[in-house]
Amino acid sequence: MQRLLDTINKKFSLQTDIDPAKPKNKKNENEEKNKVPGRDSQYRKLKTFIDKTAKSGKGDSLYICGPPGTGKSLTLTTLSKNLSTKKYKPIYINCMQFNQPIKIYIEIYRKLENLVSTKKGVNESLDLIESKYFYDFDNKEEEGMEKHSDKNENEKKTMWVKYREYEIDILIEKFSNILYRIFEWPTKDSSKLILFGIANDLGLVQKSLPRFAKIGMEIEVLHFKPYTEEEILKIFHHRIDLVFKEYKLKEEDQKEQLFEPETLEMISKQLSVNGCDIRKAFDVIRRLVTLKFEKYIENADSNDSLDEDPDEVIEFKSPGEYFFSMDLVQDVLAEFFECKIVSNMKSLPLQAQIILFSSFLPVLNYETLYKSYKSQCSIINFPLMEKADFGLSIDSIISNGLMKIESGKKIALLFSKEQLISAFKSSIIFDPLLEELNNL
Amino acid sequence: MTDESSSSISYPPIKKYKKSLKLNNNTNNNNKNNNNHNNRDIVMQPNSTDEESSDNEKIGFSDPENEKINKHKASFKDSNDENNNNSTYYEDTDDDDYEDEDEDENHKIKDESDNSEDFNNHTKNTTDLDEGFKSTVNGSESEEEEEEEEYEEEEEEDEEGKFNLDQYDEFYEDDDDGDDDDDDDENAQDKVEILQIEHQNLDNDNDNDNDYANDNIYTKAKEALHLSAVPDKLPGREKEKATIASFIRAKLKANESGGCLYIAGMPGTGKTATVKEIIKELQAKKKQQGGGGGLNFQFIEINGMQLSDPHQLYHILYNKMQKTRKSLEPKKISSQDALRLIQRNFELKNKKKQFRVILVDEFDSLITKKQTVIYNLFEWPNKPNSKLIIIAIANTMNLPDTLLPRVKSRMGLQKVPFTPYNIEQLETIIKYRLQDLDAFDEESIQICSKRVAAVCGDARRALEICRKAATIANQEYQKKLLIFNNSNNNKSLSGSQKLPIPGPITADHIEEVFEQFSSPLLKKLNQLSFYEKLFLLCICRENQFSNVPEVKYGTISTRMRIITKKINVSCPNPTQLFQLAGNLLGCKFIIIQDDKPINWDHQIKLNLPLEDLSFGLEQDPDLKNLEISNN
Repeated sequence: MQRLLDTINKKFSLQTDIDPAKPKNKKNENEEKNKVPGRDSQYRKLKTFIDKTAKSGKGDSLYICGPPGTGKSLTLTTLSKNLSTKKYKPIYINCMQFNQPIKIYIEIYRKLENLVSTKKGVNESLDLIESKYFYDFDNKEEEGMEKHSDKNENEKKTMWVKYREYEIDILIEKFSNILYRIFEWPTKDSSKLILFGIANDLGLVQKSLPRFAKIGMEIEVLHFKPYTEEEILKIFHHRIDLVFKEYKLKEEDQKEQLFEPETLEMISKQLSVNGCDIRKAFDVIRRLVTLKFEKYIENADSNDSLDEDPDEVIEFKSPGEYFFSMDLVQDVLAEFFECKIVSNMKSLPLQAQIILFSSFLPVLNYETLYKSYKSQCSIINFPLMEKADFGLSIDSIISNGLMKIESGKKIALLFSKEQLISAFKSSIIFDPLLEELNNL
Repeated sequence: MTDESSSSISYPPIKKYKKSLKLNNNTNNNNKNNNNHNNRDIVMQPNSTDEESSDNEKIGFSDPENEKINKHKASFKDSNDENNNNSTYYEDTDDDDYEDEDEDENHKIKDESDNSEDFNNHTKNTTDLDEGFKSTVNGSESEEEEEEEEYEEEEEEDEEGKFNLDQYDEFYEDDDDGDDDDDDDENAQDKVEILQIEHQNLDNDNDNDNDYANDNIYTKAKEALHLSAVPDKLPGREKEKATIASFIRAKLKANESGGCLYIAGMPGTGKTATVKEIIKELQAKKKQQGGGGGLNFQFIEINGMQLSDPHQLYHILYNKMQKTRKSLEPKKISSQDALRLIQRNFELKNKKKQFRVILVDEFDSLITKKQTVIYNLFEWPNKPNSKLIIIAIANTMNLPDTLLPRVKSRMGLQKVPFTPYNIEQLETIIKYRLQDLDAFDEESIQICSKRVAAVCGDARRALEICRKAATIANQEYQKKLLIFNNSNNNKSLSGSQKLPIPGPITADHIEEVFEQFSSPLLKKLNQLSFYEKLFLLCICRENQFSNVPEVKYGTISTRMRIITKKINVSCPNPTQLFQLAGNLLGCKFIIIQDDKPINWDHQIKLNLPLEDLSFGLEQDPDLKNLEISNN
């Protein structure tokens, strides 16, 4: 049983690593093995893009955008696995690891030369990159370079510069020059670079690279839309198939008994409402595995049997019993996605709860809130707090996520009147305050 | 004269016996005496003929009266110093973080200074009582009559002081330097007296501490309640502890992947202590089971507040990861290279790789504009072969909602909220810390836990309040020891009396601590005289009426006249009003633009927020009793 849980945990984790050392004999088997469910059309577009560019003998670039958790990196890593290592050399760079955007040149040089570390500076690396790979006219048949570059860092940096110092064009040029230079490399005459930029922003090309539109060069954009409910369900089934292949279950009846029917549909619906992030979907599955693991550990400790046979066959008691039941799935979904404002209100200290009743005012700051709090205390005949304690109670409200201090010492509410009424409708102490709220 | 001297000599043992009784009465009846004193002020002032006669009678005896006035002023100045120390002391305690060692030393120094100040009060009270007894002719009067006589004498002294100051101002209005010189001389004399008294008290402190420090229950209670004394177990967090322990254990059993866990709650709710307790238990199980069992892991703790730059996390994390390999010297690597080596470590496949549990405390201080550090922290556990568990602790429950979407996506959904402590949990925490000591009443612990749970549910605050209650009880016990030693020295022949037993800390001590925690503005208002409070009330009414921050002195005097008529209290003289304004200006309650003497057309401005002052005046018992209506 432990092997099954380990396998499910492994298959439902994120697979973003690149293994170029793996031998790949047959293309058909590799393509079938490394299929990306839910992104077939994007995968096909990327493959045709690479084939077209390789045939033309020149470099080209592509910009991939989409919200987080939509399979951008997974599609590209799967594609790079399927490519032959003789023709292509894949390089993956994540820009979140750089303190300064300009250090990307050092990293590019290090990856191209297969170095563990390098002591060369930024300008030296840049010169070496350009002299070796883009101005060498003698070797026209040199290998093309594929590079995946996540431009999140540059995006934030350029936007920051624009907003803070809009009129100084030199600084804008200074920081966005990196993006221009990197996207200009595929357009060199002797270049064989295929560049994929990945970011979240849809309009990054129009915002940060306006000169390319003037020149007439267009960068192709591939948009990864959020997953739909059906696509999430498809991904689930694909991963479960991987589990069964590795676990080597022979009987097909056991496959149906792993998840109760409609549990996966329920998870897919919940995730399609909450942002369509596939990482959250995998978190839900791993949470289910964790709960099963806890029960398994308890049984193992009680029976004093620590060792387990690897060839143990899971015994399902009856056809109506499932390994992951609907109740378990509902508990996990309620734990993760349930709105916790009402429970947070009930767990507050008593004085903080009175402050919540006194916070529906047109202008909210510390002084107006304290006045309203005094009137609420006089309604219930409750003893007043000092001002220092009042600050402490407001801090407890802010830390529970119910209030927020904005600029200018204004207080913003993060809850509604109906939530407050539903939280305290059963308490006798706050009946006069609830009547006051209903009158407002 | 000879008869009087013989009568004073014949009664010394009776007077010394009565001192101890009055000390106890004074400690218990401070509030009552203040109320009586204020009421008598109102009653005595309409009798103008008596004042004139008393002034005429006492003009001839100038020398002994001046001495009394000087001592009276000295007592006022000392009381002001003590109050300032107390107010600054309690303000500091609210802001301090008690985890630092240096601040603990400062805390102890302040405790010692408090003890010395208390002994100052003790000796001054004895000197006042001596004066009281000497002034009386008949020794057989009752205690109540003696108290009345004391208050009458104090009033007379006040009136004489005012009269002399008025005469002095009339003759020397233009000479400011003369006033300054006289004040300097008086201050010098006061300092000499204070130094002598402090020297005596220090000796007394040393003697008492050497004799009775080890046996005292209060010092043991203070040590147990100190914030740096971390107990082995943390009561009140069993549910959260089970959740976190099951998360870590399940991740350790599952051999391949890692996970993220976010813990949020108010400061002082036991977040870090709970996680450390769980790690201790798991490591204990690890030792019991030996190498097998799958609970082998490395624990790394990083506090975000200790980093001057969030990017230093890579460097510190890499060094701590390398310590298990017994490298002789930690390499000085830049944060960029450390990040690359860490990423390489988490990507490699290795069956012998050890699980790592990283606790990131004060997680919100790692957030930068680009949020690169927390992005990488949550990216690593999601890799297939990482074997990494990250536990992030912060104060705000909805902090993940404020992060960038790409960071929020990688952070995961597992959250553990630490709600503020309720009444039962605070009681169990305090009782668990005071395991075998019987220093506290059952009632006092309940009152403390109820008050703290109603406001913020902070365990640090509850422990601090109990600790201060133990300090107050210890001071009272030291006073009893002083009395016992003094009486024991006089009755050295008997030698059979027992030491006084220290009593339990009651609810009164807890209430006294809560009074000390109140705002310093209310304390300052309570120390003002009745007419000074009325003056401030007039300024508040005028500000509220005209909505202008500055008010003329003339309008305040007219409003003062109106209010005193309604209360049926005599209105003070124009010179007395000037003096009231001067006193308030000296206490920094009000601001007057020019340094010239006060004129009718001068603009008076409040140095406090108006709402705080009006709130304090509404709470004042003197003005409440008079039932002043709004004008």
